[in-house]
Amino acid sequence: MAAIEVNGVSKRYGSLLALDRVDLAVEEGEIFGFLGPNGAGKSTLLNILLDFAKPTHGSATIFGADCQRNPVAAREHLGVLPEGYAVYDRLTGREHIEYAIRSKNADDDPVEILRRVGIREDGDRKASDYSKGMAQRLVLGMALVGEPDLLLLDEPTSGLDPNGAAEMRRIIEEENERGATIFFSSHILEQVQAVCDRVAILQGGELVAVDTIQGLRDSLGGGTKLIITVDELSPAILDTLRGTEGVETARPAEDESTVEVTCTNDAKMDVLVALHGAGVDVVNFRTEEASLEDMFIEYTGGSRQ
Amino acid sequence: MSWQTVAAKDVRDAGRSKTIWLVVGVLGLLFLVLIGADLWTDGDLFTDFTDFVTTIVSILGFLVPLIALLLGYKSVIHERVSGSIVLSLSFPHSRRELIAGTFAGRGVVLLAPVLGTLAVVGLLGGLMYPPSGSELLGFAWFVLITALFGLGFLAVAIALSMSTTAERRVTLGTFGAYILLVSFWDNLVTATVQFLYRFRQEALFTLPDWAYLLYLLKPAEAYNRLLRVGFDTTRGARYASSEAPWFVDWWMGVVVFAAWIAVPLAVGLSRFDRTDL
Repeated sequence: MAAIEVNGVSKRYGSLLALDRVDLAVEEGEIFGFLGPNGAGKSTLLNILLDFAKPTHGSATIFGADCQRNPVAAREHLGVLPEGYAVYDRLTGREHIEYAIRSKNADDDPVEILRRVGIREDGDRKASDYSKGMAQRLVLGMALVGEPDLLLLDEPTSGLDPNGAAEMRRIIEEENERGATIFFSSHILEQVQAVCDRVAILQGGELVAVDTIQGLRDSLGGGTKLIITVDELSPAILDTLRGTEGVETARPAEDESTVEVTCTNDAKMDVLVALHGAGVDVVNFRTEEASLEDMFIEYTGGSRQ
Repeated sequence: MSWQTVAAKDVRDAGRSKTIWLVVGVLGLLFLVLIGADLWTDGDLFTDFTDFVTTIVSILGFLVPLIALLLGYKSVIHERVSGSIVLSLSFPHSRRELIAGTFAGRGVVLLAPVLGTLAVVGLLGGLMYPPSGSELLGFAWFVLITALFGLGFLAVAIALSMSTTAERRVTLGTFGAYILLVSFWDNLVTATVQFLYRFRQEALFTLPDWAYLLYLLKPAEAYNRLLRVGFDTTRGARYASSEAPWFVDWWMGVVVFAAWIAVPLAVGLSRFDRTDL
């Protein structure tokens, strides 16, 4: 059975289409990265899975339980690190964990959970005095209670220092080894790349890619990037490049006379030939292996800083 | 039963609010002043235990609604705006259970100090004006109906709190609810009667039957009506007169309280259940 199944989910807020007919299946036992720039609709989809928001169209299930019609049954499988949460003002960290234990009918030891997420010493302090990073650890701890079948983590490393982010990664891997499915969203490719079996890329409410990291690389056709400096760059040249067989993308770089082309390995020479054929003088060129970063930018249409 | 888990959490959270203890402190202080004044005048402020309780009721009549509304009006909206509600609703609690738990939890936070104070005040009053056996039973009944009275206002506040995410509207709504339910209601009923009878004065002396019911719908009136069951008091006398219709008997007071608890919660939940957080 799929851990998560999303069938044609759309969500409209007024005139804004936050999600556009998203279909997605996450298999049991995988670590699934949900990638996209801020505002792409990642949290909206998570909110629908949690029944914080109702989809305008479509439906979603968690281990077969419909997220809207039977939200409690769906959430029984979940450990959640949500987005935009706040801790309870007047409860201690330990009381938060105890609340999670009772809510999930679990029998975890609160001290052990606090230790696992690295805030054992602070368990008796009021959680409202915690730093952002400590609160993030606390809520992760609440998510881990009861050995959930599926961990839904929304931007899990936000607020954490690099050390904390590494610990988060370790916990994700531990949980996965235990048998839990992990679904986490991020706008940072690096994190996803490091742990995920598969990723989905969401852009402007649309799912633009679902694949393994390797699959995404392969789809770049060997992952070659040509950086070509020409004497004068014009839109016609870009069109010529894009029309060449084997070329995936061609876009101007910052300095006006340079163009970046991603293409299959075999097409490298063809690109140069095509330029020559169009009467363009190639001043300089070099090749790079396309990184996932480029790929991500390409998929999401973001610009480099 | 997951609402109990939510309730237990809410008791811990809300029970540590300083505002609530301050307001309850004011309540206790007023009673102390009352009893102190009675001692000062050598115990002739009241005629008997019934008179003592009647005076207490007039204080409770405006302070219990205040405490209940203060305790409830932020309960849901604060969690929603701050974001702590997503923690509770990430667990296998339905929204209905969340509201039930919030109501139960705040109910405990409201009733424990208020009823505790009443017990102490009743004891002191009983020492000064030894109650008869029926007055003793009446006091137990009085404590029970005070609880219902408070829970009605708590339900109104929680309903307002879950109806929207606009904090200003909830605050204004709560303020309006206090004004309307604590003081303005009778005027509204009276004005309605006068208007419908074209301002003939005699309409107010021989009220139409439905007007009795409208008056009784005000929580404090239902409270007074029910108080008559336990004590031979002047409060709620209107409903005991020979002209009063049969349906403003004491049980209607219970129905009114039940309605003030159930209807706001049901209406609020029907909105809250369907909306995005």
